[in-house]
Amino acid sequence: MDISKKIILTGSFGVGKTSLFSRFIYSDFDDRYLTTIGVKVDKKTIDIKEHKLNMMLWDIAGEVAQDKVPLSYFLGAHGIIYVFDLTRPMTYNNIGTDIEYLKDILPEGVVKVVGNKKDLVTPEHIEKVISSLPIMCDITTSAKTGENVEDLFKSMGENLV
Amino acid sequence: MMDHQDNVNQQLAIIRDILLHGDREEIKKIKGIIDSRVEMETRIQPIIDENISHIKKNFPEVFGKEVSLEVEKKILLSNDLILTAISPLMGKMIKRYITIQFQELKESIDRSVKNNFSAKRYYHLLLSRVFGIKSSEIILSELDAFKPDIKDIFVIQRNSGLLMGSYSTTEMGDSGIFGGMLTAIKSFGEDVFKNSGDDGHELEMIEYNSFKIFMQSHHNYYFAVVLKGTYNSSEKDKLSNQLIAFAEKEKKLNLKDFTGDDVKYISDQLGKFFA
Repeated sequence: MDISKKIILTGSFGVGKTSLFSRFIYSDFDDRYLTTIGVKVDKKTIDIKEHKLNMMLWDIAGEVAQDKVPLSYFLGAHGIIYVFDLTRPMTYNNIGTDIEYLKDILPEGVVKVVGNKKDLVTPEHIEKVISSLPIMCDITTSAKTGENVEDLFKSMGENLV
Repeated sequence: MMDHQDNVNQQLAIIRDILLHGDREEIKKIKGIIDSRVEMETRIQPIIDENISHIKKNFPEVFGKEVSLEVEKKILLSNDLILTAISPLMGKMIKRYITIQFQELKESIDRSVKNNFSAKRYYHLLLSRVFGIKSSEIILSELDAFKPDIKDIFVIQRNSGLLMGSYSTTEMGDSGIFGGMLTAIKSFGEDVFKNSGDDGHELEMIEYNSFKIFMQSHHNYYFAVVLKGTYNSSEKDKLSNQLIAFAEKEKKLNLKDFTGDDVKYISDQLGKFFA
């Protein structure tokens, strides 16, 4: 059975949302930093169990706090991927408040917390950052090497069908 | 010897006083005039006024050449600034010209219609009387080049932007992505104007070249219709009524969760209804 779901990629600016998006959809990575203006929508269909899942991915321009993102972008979303940068504390300092806000506006939505840019830090550093967070980090990824990117979206898909 | 010289000098001074008395008086009077602003103004103002009046009357002859040269020089130096300033005005002028040309075309059609006593003329008259549509608009809408042509119809879930169905006569690319991006644009527009006192209003039309995307919102979804050609108020009403009729007929449009089968069903029904 074909199913379509809306998934939002959000988080502070420069955390690698667009890179994760491009890595997953086009298997591509670009070292240049080009800030996202507004929102970019794209689609990828994956097979989950007996279903064909059309993931409509909304890559939203980064904001320092989630309440700065236009509320209408979140409406009707089935899943949210909240991305932070493992190398920059300012991108996860407010993670508790941000996740609480997202769960408030989308109580039934699936939220995944993702620490990106794992290729730039040591396993010890990752461990230290994750243990300092007030909420659970679902997965750590590297859009550059592709590590865990497929797993992230697959796990989101499994939670949605 | 010295006494004699002194005597001569005194006599010369007396003679000088006698001879220059008149001139000295005249100089004193002139100095009085020069030192007094009122006296000066009384004398000079009429001359200045006369000259100003002459310049006003003969400005082109007196300064025309110099002004032309100066303006020409300024225009050359400020070419870009002038273009920036006059471009919007030119756009308005062109738009106005085209509007006038269209108006003349309509009037000419009206004139020819008045002289035409065919059965079609009476049919047009009937439409005009009953629906209040001008004869010229009816004729324009009957010409192929002006006929509004529905290219694509999309049914999109309001908040999620997910595609619920589509009917397409063109190769537009992925309909799902179109639905998502259109919803993002719509949401952005509505978000921007939500504090402007126009809350509750929704984006209704997007124009791109000769294409128009007309959007009609319903409770859980909206229609996006891609059109080409002229699109007047009567065409808009007609299309809107068709969309309402389709919405009333298809209960599946109110589904909160839908599958690929539902999308296929709605797409098939759109095709049957609008083809």
